Amino acid sequence: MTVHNIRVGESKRGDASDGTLAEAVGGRLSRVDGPAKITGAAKYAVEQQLEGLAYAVLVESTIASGKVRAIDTASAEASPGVLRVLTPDTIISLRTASDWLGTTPPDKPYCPLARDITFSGQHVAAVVAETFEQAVAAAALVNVSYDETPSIVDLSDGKAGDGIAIDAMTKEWGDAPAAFAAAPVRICAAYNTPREYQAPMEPHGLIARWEGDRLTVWEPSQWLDGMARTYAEWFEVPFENVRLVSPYIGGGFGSKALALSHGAVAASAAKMIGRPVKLVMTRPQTFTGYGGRAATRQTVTIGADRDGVIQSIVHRGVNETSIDGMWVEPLGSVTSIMYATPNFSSKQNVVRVNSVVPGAMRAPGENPSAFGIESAIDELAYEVGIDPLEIRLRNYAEQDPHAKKAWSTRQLREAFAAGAERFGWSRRSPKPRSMRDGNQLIGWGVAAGTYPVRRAYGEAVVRILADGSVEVESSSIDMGQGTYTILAQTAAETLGVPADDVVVKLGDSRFARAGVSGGSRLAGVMTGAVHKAATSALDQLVGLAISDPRSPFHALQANTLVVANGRIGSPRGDGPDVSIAELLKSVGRDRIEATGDTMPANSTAEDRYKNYTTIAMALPHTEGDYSRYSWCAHFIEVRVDEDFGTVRVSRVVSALDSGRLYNPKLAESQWKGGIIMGIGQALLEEGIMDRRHGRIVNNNLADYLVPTNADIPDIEVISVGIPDPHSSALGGKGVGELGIVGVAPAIANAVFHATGKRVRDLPITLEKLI
Amino acid sequence: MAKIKIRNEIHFILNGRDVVLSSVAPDATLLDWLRLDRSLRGTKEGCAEGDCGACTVLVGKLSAAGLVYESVNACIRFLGSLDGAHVVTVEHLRGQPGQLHPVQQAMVDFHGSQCGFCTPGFVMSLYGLWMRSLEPSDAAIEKALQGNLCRCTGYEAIVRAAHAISSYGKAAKDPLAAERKAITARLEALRDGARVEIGSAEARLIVPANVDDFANVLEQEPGATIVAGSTDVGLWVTKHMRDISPAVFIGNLDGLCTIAEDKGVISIGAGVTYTEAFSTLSKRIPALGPLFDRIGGEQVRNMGTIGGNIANGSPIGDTPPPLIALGARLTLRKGKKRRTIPLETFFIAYGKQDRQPGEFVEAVHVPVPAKGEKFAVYKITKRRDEDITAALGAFLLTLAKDGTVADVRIAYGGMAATPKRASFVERALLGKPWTEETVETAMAQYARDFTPLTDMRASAEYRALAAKNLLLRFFVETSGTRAPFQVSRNEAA
Ligand SMILES: Cc1cc2nc3c(=O)[nH]c(=O)nc-3n(C[C@@H](O)[C@@H](O)[C@H](O)COP(=O)(O)OP(=O)(O)OC[C@H]3O[C@@H](n4cnc5c(N)ncnc54)[C@H](O)[C@@H]3O)c2cc1C
Ligand code: FES
Ligand code: FES
Repeated sequence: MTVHNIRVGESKRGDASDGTLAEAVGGRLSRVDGPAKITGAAKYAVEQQLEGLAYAVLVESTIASGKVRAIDTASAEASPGVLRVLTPDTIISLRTASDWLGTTPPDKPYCPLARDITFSGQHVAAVVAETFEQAVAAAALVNVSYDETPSIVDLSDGKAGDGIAIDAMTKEWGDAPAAFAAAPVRICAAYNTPREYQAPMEPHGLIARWEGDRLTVWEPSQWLDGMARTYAEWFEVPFENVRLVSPYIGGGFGSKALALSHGAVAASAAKMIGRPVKLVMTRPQTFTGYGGRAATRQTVTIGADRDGVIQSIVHRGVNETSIDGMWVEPLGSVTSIMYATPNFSSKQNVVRVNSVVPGAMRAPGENPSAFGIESAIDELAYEVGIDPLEIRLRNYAEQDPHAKKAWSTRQLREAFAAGAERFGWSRRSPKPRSMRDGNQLIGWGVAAGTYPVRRAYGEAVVRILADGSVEVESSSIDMGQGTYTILAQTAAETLGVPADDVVVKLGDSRFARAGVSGGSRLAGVMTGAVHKAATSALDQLVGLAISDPRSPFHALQANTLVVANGRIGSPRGDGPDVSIAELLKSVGRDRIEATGDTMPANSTAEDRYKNYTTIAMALPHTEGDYSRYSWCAHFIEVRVDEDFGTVRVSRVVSALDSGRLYNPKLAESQWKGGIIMGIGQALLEEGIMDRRHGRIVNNNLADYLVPTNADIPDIEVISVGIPDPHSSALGGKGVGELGIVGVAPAIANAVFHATGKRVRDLPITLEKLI
Repeated sequence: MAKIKIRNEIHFILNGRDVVLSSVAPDATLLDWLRLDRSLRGTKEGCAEGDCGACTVLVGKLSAAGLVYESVNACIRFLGSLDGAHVVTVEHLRGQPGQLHPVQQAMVDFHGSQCGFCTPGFVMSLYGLWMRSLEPSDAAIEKALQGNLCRCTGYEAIVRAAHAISSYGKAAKDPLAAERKAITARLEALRDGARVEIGSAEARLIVPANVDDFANVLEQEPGATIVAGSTDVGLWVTKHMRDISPAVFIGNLDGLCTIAEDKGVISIGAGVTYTEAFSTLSKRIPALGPLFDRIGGEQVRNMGTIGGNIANGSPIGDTPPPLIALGARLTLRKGKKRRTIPLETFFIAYGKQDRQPGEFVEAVHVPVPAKGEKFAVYKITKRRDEDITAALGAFLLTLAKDGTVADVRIAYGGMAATPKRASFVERALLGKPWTEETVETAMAQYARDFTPLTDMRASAEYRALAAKNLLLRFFVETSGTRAPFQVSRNEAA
């Protein structure tokens, strides 16, 4: 019923302009889930139709800090259709679950409805009713009274203080302060990024259903096994008893990786009323139901010689976190590796404010980090009078300056060269305010970006069926990045069958386990696992063909056979030539099945559980002899109307190194999606707070401005990657997060070039320019 | 007057089927009905406020030009407003046997979808466009997609798909084209000239038979909520959970949807949508064209009316300032009584307009600028498209032969509690030579005309400065000292 069968054959193949077969790994096969999405047939998690479904609606705190004094539920309970009103007093008790590192949780109860309020919008109660309208109406009747205490609105709040030092973030070598003091050229500036929100088009929500002590959750999820673990721990049932189903995900960008309190509320409600319960957040609720990107502040000081060669970088960063949760946005991540410097120091604090705990949003850490260092190096370029591109090459890091290891691959120089060439950078007039078109000032800016290669172990099942078709199963997911498609390509290529004959099934935690789809790791992990499973299925197939007495190849005494285009033959083409289906029939088998698992051979069941349900087993990107990152360079043109301060991005050329691309069509789409999100970050996106009540005011898509089509210029992306054998089995590096990193500083740098105004505080809105 | 027939159900067509509903809440939205009652879940909900376009469907209605299909936001479109219409959802699209519809195939091949959540909405917007224009220009595509947000793809692939649609199939073979005659006949048959009344007590809706019937209904129900395009009222319901019963739907009333010019004055009925007004207005008063292109997105312009924009009385509504600058007059009607007033006097204070209980806006009359008169309007927003105004200025200037200012009318939005004229500035300009010096001097008067506020769209200081710069921009353009300021893809404002 909920299993997802995606057949490649339903869509046109896609083009193969570069000569690669569209279906092969590296080919431009069109998205195989395209037809389902385009016809509206693709069923998203909360669109399941279940018998007896009840609807839950959340009641949220209207204060940012204090205590719930009382909740009067009488009129809500009397309201038509109401089945139950949940409050901290009436909801069933849950256990605290472990975090995503798998850290053993404190042995205490967990209540997803709050008595102690630490941010505005916190869930305090929920109403469950027969229909959605009834639940909405009754939720409005729940009367909550509070004892309010002063709140810390955000980092700029006088009460915020300096925060907590996070020693694990400290990175130092040489004597950075002394080298800075001695440097002939010194720049020092503060860079700020605001709260930003993932704003996926599909709001968060779920349907939870209990059957005895078995729980099924239909929920958009970037990590089925991780979320299943959390639900299992909350409700103290075995992990195997929880099934997560998430065939399609309407965008996540980091926000759908973890089970969140609204999920606990819905699953509790379902248990309490003995019926399936659906809970979907309203768009405004999505702004406080989970954390967006934390607001950040950084100071970057660079000491350099007069030729712009960096002698020292001193970096201090702060990000906000919530009152009782901990989120560290690693602000020194790009600062410490982008440029060669003999002396370096980076430290970071986090500051508690009355907000929901911030979360992962496309390239957490690297994104704001790059805004700091890539703006600062631009400032240095003007200070010493060197072209912004040239200064980056002059300080090029030939190895990882922090880990002191060789790069696995770093095509950044190539990216600069390809991007500059295509953009026409050499025609840039160096002085700010020197390029103009009518009322508009024109500016050209450049910035680099990077994202580490995150690696983990994966598992997949590959099945060759009686009719010769192939099934791939994994509990990994596709939220648009193209997992369905590249896994079909991988299985097809490895097995030698047409991609049309491959069905990929994802998004059900009953399938082979999978880790998180986050940190741009999934493609590398899963292609490796499918490749391994398919290889082993192929070995079985060929083994049968050679050794089974009933096989037409038996007499051939061959030691190997080739499978191509779904047919089996001898390498020299001199023997029989039969289809896979015919072979299976002749040997009396109705299927061949193989599980591929890239875990080390001696792994225990516990290791496996840990690998798929936590991120504790992820392999460090600097493990072994190499440091592994993907890289990019963005060249951006802006046009600024000085009378009104309006900025438009008019041209983008980006050259990116994601290693080998499994499917360039999908990768380019990911990169471009990242780049436009970067344009939004640079010019539009910012959570605006009502300082009196400590709540976000622009909690909707009319006021939280994400880019529209008209904000987006022509974007050209160029792949400069080469296969990187140290990063993944098939040579790819991360794709999804890379594109956004460096876009905002490239735009800020272009705005400076256009106007002579340096905006260090995102977003670059009209009033900052006039 | 002939006795009006009353019907207690609404009739419309959903995809291929006739629908008759006798139980309809006044605030029931088309989206909820499609997804919950009809289990048509291809149409998505991303915001429920008209902002994202995930809920885009087409609504066909009979008009003077025959059967016309327009994209609308199902999330803020009320079910009760669909009497006599043809609702088309993504599920209705079909290609030739065994094939996808051309719009859909183009979207697949050009990779116009990642997560897919926005996709059915884009498909419907593109479908609406393709039906009107087989080889749409970049500008037409841009307009058609203004009201659709995609957080994943970066749009470009969708734009390329839009250009390619016609290479995938012929419009004549399209299901809606093939059914056109039959649907027209079925919709004709639904037109029985009746008034619709559904519900009782706390949940009532009325669809008057025509404008005179509307006048009667409103006299009897002075407390009713008038709903025209529902692009404001829809949000009262989905966002603020306000009770709108009894609701009177006037979206497609005979006698209220005409636009006509007589003796240099364009009269626009209160039921005329932005889209319907566009061709006349952009032809006769060209500066209004680019402004209209930046009101909401296409879906909002297909539903929203100029009458509703005026009646709503918002200080950041985009049409009142230019219409005030043009010297527009407003006709209000109560029963059989009509009065016509200068538009600017309609706006009394924040949230307060010169409208009596039982009275409604019937039409607005807009004088076309005479030859030699210079008119311009500028809208400043953070985001270029689909964004609410931070400040908007409209200017109408008549110069005397000697180059002095013979007449000038300046009105702003976003600068005060109502759309408002800059009277002190006007006075400072009047009779003076139209020179930079005069303009510079007049700028001091802005402080007397406006004390703008700070909000999330802009600060008070920004608004004060931008308002002045708009006058300067108007001067520069009208005196020919700099290139004209154009609202095009690559401009900055
Ligand atoms: C996504 C989105 C974007 C938008 N962008 C813009 C924008 O850029 N610029 C802008 O100016 N506006 C914008 N709007 C608001 C704009 O669409 C409305 O103001 C519209 O013009 C109102 O017309 P309507 O027909 O939809 O009115 P309705 O919502 O039906 O009614 C609006 C108000 O007018 C009253 N009313 C309607 N008709 C009459 C009548 N004949 N007599 C008396 N009272 C009447 C109603 O009772 C109600 O109070 C946007 C709205 C949305 C949802
Ligand atoms: S759901 Fe977003 S516009 Fe309707
Ligand atoms: S494809 Fe995800 S929002 Fe458009």
